[in-house]
Amino acid sequence: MTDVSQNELWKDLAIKAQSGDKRAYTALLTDILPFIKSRIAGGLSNPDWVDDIAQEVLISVHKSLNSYSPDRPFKPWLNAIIQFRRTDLLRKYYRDKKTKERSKENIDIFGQNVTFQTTSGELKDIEKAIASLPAKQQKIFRMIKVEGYSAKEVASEMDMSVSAVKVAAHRTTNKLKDMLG
Amino acid sequence: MSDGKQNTDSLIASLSDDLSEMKCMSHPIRRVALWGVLAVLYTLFMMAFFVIRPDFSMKLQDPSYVFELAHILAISISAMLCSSWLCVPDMRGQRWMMAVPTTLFVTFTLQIILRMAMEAHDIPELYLHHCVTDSLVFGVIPAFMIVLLSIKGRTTHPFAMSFMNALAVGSLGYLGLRVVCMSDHIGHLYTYHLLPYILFGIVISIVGRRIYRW
Repeated sequence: MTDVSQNELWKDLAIKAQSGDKRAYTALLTDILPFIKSRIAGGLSNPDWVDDIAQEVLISVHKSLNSYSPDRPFKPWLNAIIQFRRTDLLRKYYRDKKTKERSKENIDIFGQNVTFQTTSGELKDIEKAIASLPAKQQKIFRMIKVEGYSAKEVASEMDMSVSAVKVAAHRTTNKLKDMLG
Repeated sequence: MSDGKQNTDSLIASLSDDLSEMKCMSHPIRRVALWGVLAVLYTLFMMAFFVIRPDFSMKLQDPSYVFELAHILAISISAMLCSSWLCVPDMRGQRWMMAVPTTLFVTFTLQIILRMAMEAHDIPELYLHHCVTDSLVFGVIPAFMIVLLSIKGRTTHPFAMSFMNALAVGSLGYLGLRVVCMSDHIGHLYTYHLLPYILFGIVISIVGRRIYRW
């Protein structure tokens, strides 16, 4: 498929998605995923980040679809979001890396934060990580991932939209993955 | 199937499931028009409230004063347009727009520095001069409105957005102060008219990444 026809296809799908066509939207998100990954993969040292950033980009596309203007090509709009989320992740990574490097120089902090072999992977590590999250994220995560409620049930309980609950659960999972290594 | 692939597929499914018909964001010019009109009306109202300087008609004969007002107005208008375009992730392909208020701001700053070097032999001391409180009054409502407008957007340049917001609000407020305050002393202008907006710019730049996060 040429660049122009691909752009036109995505543009059509995006316009249909804006009018609420779920099938067109699924097709759009599925179709742009390889493009997103190819744009991200180039400069990343860790291949695991590709999926993480791609998912963040998909969530961002979902949140900002109303900002796409049908009189404009789709690709530059998508590229801006990809670049933004990629930079965001790299910035977060290097900031965390700096913090970790600094804590290694401080023996006391190092001692407090290292997980001992005997307790490695135990429930209390996970509980500790969950407890460090904001209360709202904790509640969503516990209800969906621990207690098994559906996103719809959690949404009605917390007076949020279903997508906001799903996005929060997804982000919390990623955050916990980062925290637990 | 890998875990990552499975997650992405389920994410696409859940996002699609949640889709509903949406209202597209208006064209940036339409979005900013309301802010522009309200901010200008508010500034005019405040000028009338604080009373326009008595020598204003005479000052309009002074080319450097008129140039300064025009320069400041150009910064404000271009920065407010930029703020609105920045609400769209790719700025509708108009990234060059950011160069206009930035260049105007740089030339304005150079002009201030030159005037400071040549004219400011006595920099006024820092205290809560009435011009400082006036500058806050001039800036607070337009600042609140432009932050609200920007938060509703989807910027991919939070720092640039903060900078443009500060320029749009600061220059409009400075313009208002130049019309109501009798003093033309550069030290006074810098310390009591500009400094509050510079501080506002610094604060909004620091918190910009957080407040414009989406």
